[in-house]
Amino acid sequence: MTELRDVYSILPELLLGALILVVITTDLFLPRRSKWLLTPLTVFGLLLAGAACIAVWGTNRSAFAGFYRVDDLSIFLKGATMLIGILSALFAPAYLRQRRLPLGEFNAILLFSLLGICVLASGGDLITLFLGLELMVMPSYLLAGFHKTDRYSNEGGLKYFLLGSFASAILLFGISWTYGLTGTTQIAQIGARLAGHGISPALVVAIGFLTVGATFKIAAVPFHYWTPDAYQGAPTPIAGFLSVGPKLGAFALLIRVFAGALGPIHADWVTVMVILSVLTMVGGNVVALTQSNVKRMLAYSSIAHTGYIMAALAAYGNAPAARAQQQAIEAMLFYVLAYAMMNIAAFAVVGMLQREPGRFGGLASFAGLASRSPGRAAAMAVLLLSLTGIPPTVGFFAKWYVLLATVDAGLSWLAVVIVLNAALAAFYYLRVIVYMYMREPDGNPAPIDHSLFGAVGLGLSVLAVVLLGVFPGVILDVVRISAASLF
Amino acid sequence: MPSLSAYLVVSALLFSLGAFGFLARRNAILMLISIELMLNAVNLSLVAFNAYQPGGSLNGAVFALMVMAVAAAEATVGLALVIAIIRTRQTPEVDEYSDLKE
Repeated sequence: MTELRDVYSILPELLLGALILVVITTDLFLPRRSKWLLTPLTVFGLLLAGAACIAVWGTNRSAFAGFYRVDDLSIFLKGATMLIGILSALFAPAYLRQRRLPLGEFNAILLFSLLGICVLASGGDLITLFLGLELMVMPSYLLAGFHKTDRYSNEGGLKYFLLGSFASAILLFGISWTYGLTGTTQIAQIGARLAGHGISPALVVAIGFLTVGATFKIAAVPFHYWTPDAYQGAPTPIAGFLSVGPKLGAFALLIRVFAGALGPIHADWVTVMVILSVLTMVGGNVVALTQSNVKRMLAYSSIAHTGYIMAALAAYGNAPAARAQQQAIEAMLFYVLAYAMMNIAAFAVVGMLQREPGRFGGLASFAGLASRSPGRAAAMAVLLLSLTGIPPTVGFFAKWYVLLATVDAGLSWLAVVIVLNAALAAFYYLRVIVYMYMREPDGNPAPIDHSLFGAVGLGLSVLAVVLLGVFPGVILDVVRISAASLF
Repeated sequence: MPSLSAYLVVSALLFSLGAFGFLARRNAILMLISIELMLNAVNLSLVAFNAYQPGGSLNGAVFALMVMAVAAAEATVGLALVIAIIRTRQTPEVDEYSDLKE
């Protein structure tokens, strides 16, 4: 039966849901010139929801008859979600205002997607996972096509929608067969029943469909075709959100399905995960090298980062002992958080250089940025160094922990592939820095966006990237407790 | 009562038809319809699995209801996006949507 404690343990989701209603209602009554107030309102609400995450930390229980699992892992992911939400809400307003796009609707749709990520993070049952996933991606389709009079945004949104829904249907087919063959939809029970039996050919098909559907959602090669188009077409700050928010949720799904439900048969899926991880890293990096549009380059680089995170999941599958498995999950969580902070801010900088509609974030728009806006150039340089994985930034430690996890799991050659890929990625990240610091600006550069919210968001993320790079221990303890709650 | 595998064969056929339609059709609205067909194939298999499951739990049937609700929402979002793109491109043919590339 539903108890009061169940309701209390979903306090962050309840606050988020209430915030959506408040934002929609407030938007109706605010006059046009005061719409900017919605941004501080949204940020404040997300801070409250973040505080609620701290309040329910340590709950570790199943709620609502096992449909919902509130453990430290889910609370960590929810906290990261609120952080992503705050940054998105800060980065978007200036870009939207210049293009006369409605801020209230953006905030509401964004919050719906965040709520979906939270539900997904807490899914204790295939039904909950599916509903969370759809609640996360459907607002994302709308956000990708948010600039509805812009042909690029339309195209990105529609491609994202068509391929995303196709992937959902494939995933769902896998889910239905998993349910049919195990006789349950609860994650914990699926694991227990598989542990007893071993796998039949029909189950291989079911897990195959599950894997294809789930890897579509994280944009792993060869299921990544929608990613560059969706990110390039979407309004730039929104592309930043799409590259981290739904990806965080999809990795939550992967952890729940592969480490939770399919954990007992990890020896059977680890090879597939290793192959996909290598394909994704190499594929993303090689294509990113050839891009001259920074927005599209960041889209391909986000695919490469997906590959590194999948390597950690492969390490989980290959780990000989529970300690090494836990270490792999820790590496995943740390990487996802670090990646979220640096990638969303990097997209935001591209957006700040596109102040006029019709500017597309080409490499040339970065030429001479160091003399035009030293602060933004320095911030972008820090973010790119972090994406490359150079100390003392958080990106370095994120890669370091993934490397440790793969070596400890007995996949040393995979660690070598990761290092080689990181070196390859340095070419295209550092090329942008060269443009910023060593080229003269164009004859007629677009004005740079200097809005307060964007500057605050950028300052926060750069500060976090540097501070966590110097003191990774702060977040590491949290990550350790979160990963432990899965075992 | 036919056997479980009869339902599963029909469901798999429907799913394959939907997937084929999605890959072969180049009209955005027909692709959307193909996806709906795939979701309905899943619904059939969910309900069939549930009916043949010992123990009388209704999880599969409830799941199918949830999928229907999600499919309705998906159609809404999809049609909104299709209408938006037809306004700027004057065509529902997806092969014409090729502005986004390097």
